[in-house]
Amino acid sequence: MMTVVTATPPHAGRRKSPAGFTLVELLVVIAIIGVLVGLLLPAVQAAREAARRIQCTNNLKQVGLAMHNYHDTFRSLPLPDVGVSYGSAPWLSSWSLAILPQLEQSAAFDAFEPNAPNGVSDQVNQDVVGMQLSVFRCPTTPRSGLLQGIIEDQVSATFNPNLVAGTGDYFIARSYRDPAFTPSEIVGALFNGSTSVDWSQPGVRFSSITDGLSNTIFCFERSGFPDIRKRGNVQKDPSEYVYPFVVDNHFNGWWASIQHDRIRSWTYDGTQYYGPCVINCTNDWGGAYSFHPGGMQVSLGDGSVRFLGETIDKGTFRALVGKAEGEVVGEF
Amino acid sequence: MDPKLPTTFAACAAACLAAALAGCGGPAAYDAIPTHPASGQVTVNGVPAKGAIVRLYPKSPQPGAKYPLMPSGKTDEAGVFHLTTYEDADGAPAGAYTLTLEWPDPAWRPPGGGMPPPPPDRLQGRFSDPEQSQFEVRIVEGENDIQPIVLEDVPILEGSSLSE
Repeated sequence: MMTVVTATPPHAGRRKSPAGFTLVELLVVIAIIGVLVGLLLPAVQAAREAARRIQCTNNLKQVGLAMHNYHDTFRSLPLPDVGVSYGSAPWLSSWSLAILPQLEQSAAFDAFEPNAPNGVSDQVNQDVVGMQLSVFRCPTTPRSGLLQGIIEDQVSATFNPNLVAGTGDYFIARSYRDPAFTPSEIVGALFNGSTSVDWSQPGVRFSSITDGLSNTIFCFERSGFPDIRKRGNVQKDPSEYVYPFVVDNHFNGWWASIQHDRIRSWTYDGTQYYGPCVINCTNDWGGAYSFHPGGMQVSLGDGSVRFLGETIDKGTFRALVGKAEGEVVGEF
Repeated sequence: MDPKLPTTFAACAAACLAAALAGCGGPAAYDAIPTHPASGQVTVNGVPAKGAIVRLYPKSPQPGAKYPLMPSGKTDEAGVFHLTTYEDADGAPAGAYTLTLEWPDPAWRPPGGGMPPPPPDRLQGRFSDPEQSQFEVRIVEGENDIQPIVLEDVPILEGSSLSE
């Protein structure tokens, strides 16, 4: 005998729900994921930039500490132009070379031939000058490897496209110049003359930085030189360069070059100098510029590194550049 | 199912995304006082001065500006300039100004060779000092046409020319 058992499933009265999602549910999920990804993507980019900026901070910190160690050793800061003596026919070199031993690059310092006829631009110094030292390079700056071609010697002022150089984004301020103030020019921390270098004298001592080391800029960023940008990181047309010779001949922008300049104010669009803007308007002649959104980093004389916002008061910035003006530096 | 529903969702998602992204970035704002468009023309020895820099120095403090604003402009091929205070051709704040003029020559090279200095003034600094400038300008509300600056018989820097 066969018993037919008819099992009555539970909830038999309810309509059986179909397996899987409806189109609407799927779309809702996709839309939510889309929004979340949309929220996250800029955050990821911002986090990556934050990481690069911290590395940049660290570089400036190393440079600032190296300056202190140099001062401990030689009782003065390095001279901005001549880090190493070249005898009677000097080719300008940089403070960066002078502090190499303090940056644990003694081998590079020893390998450098200071008496080469063309100094930093001499073929025999290509091994050193062509080193890409990460401590002088801000990772935020878009660069593609070494700088190809540098100015060759100061007398003929020729450009040698076959030489290479490791890039550098950090400069020291020769002065701040802006006719909106009186005096229109005040000299920067490492300059021992009135507006320039006095080679007959030793470098600046901490004791002559009477504004206080924590209120004086040692290094600032002029990132990307000689790739000249203006507002919004847009490349400048060569016809807009203020000092085309230094750009065309790659006078700066590599760590072994002189890496110092006056800082000038600019208009916000980065086209005319002597305007209301001091940070991130252009890296053209006289511009203080970084690729960090919202501001630029500086190393101060006390070894600290500060992020200066683009909206910094022009007078505060000027007071930070000056070393002995007795100006009151406000909040920054 | 309402066939419009997926479209509505997509629109909604797009709107949310746009709203989320709109919150980021954008240029940092700065304090600005009102400016009025101003333009003019520079002619030196009968030639339109291309690349000359015109700069206005205020004669009295500008209300609302913490530091003196010095509107400037660079001339084009026709010698025409548009003043910039903050950005682009935004002009100048209203008021009385002393106008200065310099005409850098980027092609100038030292006669004896060597590193060229920052482009020297073809007009040899004759018109670049606001203390001695003869040019006076008043900027008023609305469009400003600055009286053409016509310089005749001006000695030009040796090694420089009126063209380029």
